[in-house]
Amino acid sequence: MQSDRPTGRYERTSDASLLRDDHDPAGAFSELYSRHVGTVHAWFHRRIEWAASDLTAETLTRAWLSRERFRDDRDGSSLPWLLGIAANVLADTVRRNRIEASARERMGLPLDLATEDGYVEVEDRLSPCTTLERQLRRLPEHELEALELRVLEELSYAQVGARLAIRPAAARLRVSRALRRLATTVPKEKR
Amino acid sequence: MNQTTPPPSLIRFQRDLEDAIRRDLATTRPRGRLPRVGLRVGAVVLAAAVIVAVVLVTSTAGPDVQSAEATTINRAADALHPASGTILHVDSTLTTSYPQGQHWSTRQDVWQQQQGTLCNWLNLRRSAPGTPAGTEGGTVNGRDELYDPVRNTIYIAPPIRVPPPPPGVTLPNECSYMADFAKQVRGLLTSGRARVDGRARIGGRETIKIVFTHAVETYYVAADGTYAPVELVSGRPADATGMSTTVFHTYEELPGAGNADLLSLTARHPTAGVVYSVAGFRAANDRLFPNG
Repeated sequence: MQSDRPTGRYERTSDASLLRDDHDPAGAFSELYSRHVGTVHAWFHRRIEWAASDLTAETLTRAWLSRERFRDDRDGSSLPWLLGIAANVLADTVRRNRIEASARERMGLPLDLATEDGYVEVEDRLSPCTTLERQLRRLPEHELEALELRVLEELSYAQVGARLAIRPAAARLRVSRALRRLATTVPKEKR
Repeated sequence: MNQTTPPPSLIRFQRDLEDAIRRDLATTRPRGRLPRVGLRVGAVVLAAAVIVAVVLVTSTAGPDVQSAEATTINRAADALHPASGTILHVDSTLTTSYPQGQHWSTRQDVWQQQQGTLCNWLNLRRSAPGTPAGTEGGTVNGRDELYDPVRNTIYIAPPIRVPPPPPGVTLPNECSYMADFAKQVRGLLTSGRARVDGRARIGGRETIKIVFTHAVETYYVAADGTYAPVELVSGRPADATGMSTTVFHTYEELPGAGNADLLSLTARHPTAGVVYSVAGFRAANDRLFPNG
C-alpha cells in the first residue's frame, strides 16, 4: 500500500539512500513514510487498534529523529529498523500506560490522531494496559489456564500436566501456543 | 508482512511531518549522516545555523560595500582561524525562537583537535530530551566514547573500520563542521559587505557589533582585543522559520602540546569505571539518548 503521493522520483532509490538524502531530506523521508506507513500501521492495528495511527505517527517521527542510528544491514530496507522502533514505542506506551508522543511533541506535530480516526468514546479508547489485558483474556481457556500455572505459579510442565490431567508434553504445547499468540500482540521489553 | 490502508489521519500526518522536518532542517544544519552511530554532534547545530545564515547572506547581497572599520573586521576574521594542532574550545548556546513564542535551546561545550585525518572531539554538555545532565561524549583516536554520569562509567567502542571514500570525496567530521563555521563567518566578514555598527554589552561583556549589508545577520565580537565570537544572531523575530541566536560563552584556542587530557574522558573522570565494548557502548547510547 502506498499513500496518494507520487513516488516515481524515488522509484529506484533504496530506503538506506533515502535516509542519507542530503538534497531533499524531507521529501526523501516522506517517500520512506509512503513505503512503510501501511505495514507499520498494520503492525500496531493488530495490537492496539484504536491507537494504531498515533503510534504509527510516533514511530515514523521517532525514526526521523533517530535516523543517524540506521544501519543498512538488510540490503537497504529500513522496515526491520522501523518495526524495531515500533516495538520500543509500544513498550514505552505499555510501561507508562499512555500513548507515547514525545517525538511528536518535540517536532510540534498533532498528538491525537485517534479522535480523527473516530475513536472518541471512552470504551473505544481503553488504556494500553487494559487493551493488552484483553488480549490475554482472548486466549482459549485451556491455554490461558496452562499459561497461568506455568508462569504465575511457576509449576513445572509435569506439575501443570498433573493439575490439568494432561501429559507434560501437552502442557508444554498449550503454554507454547499461548506464548506464540501473545507474541503477536504484546510488546516485548527493550533489551 | 501484511499492510492496511492507513486512515486519512495518517495521510494528513505525512504532510504535517514533512513540513515539520523542513522547519527542523531550517533551524539546524542539513544533516548528513554522521560517521559514528548515535553520536549527536556538538558543533553541528551551531555550524548549521551559520551556514544557513551565510547562504541567505550570499544569495541576497547586493554590490560590495567597503567596511568602515576594515581593521576591526579583518581582526574578527583572523580570530576565526584556528592554528593547526591547537585545541579549539567552544562553549555555546543556540536558541531558536519562533513568532508564536516557542523557544528551543541547546548548550554545547565542544573541545576538538584536528590531527591529520583524525578529528578528536568531546562535547561536555550532551543535552537532548531525556538525557541525564552531565552526559559527555565524543570521538578520540577513532574510538567513540560516552560518559554516563548516573553510573559514573565511561563506555568506549573500538574503532570502526570504514572503507575509504571514493577519490575526491571528503567525509565530514566534527572538525570539518566547526571549520565550516569559521570559514563561513570569515567569508561573511571578508565579503566587503560587513560594517561596524557600534558597541553593545552582552552578558556583561563589552562587544563590537558587526552587521552585514542586505542581510539580517548580526555578529558581536569581544572588544577586549581578542575579537573572539560573543554572539551571532540570524534572522528576525517575525521570521516563520525562526530566529537563531548563538551565544558563545567561551571561544578559545589552546596549545595541543601538553593538553591531551582535555580530550580524554578518562582523565576528566579518574574515578569512573571504563567499559570497552561495542554492546556496552550501544546500550549506554540508547539509555542516555532515549529519544534518538
